[in-house]
Amino acid sequence: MFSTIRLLPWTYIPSTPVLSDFLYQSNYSYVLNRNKEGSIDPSLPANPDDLAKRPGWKETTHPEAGKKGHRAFENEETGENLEYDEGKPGHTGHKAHDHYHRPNPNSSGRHDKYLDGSGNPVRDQSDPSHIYHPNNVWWK
Amino acid sequence: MEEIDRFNKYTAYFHDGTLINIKQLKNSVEILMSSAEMDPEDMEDNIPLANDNSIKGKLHIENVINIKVSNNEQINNLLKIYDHGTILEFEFKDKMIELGILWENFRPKSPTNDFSTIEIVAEKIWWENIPDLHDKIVE
Repeated sequence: MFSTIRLLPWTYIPSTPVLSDFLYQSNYSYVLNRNKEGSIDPSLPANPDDLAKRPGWKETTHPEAGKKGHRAFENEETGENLEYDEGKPGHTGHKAHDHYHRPNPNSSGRHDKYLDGSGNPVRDQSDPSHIYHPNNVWWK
Repeated sequence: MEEIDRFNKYTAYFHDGTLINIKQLKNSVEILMSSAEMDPEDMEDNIPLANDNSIKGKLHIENVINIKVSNNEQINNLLKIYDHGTILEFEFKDKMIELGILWENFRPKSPTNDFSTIEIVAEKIWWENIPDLHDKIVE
């Protein structure tokens, strides 16, 4: 489907497709459709165990969910919540990589259920709702 | 209709996806599901994506042999009792599917953080891709 792309040497930069990208319509569509970037928050610890050591934070993980690598944390002082999913090597997509989710305290539904790495509301299932420590960024 | 073995390579994208609904009629179960957003480049088969770049559709489970919820009981009437289910796990092997679901209620219902592992063994499992499946984002 994208055989013409394979012949073109180019570097993907999401917001700034280079001129050669526009020479082929299929290539242009490819640039527009490209996804998989999560968002980044350097304030989060790479190791979630370190989060529980920070002032105010406690772990609220459901025991069965914890067995699946899903952990939950709450800051008793600020009311902030964080969720952490342990990456599972050998899988694809975000499932393969350690990431956080930050529930939106002012959410009114699924369209703004989470915050991205910069604190902007984003819908659930979306790529930016997956927040990464800079050391764990995996997309190019 | 997608052969489940071919569809199996995309199950990881359902991590952080949504369990939209579950319907059980006698010994058949239908699970309406949506994956998380995926890169269209990663779709190697002719399985059209929804507008939000997710895989949406219905998992058909026919001639059910056994259902377990959270590893301890057989359930005859599988129901979605909470408002929303986030998929943490979706695995398929040897005619058995396993789902790990983190449940959530929306206001004004009481909040929950319940979690269920659903295991279903059946004689036939197949995927019906429905890119325009209704999946209410704005509650």
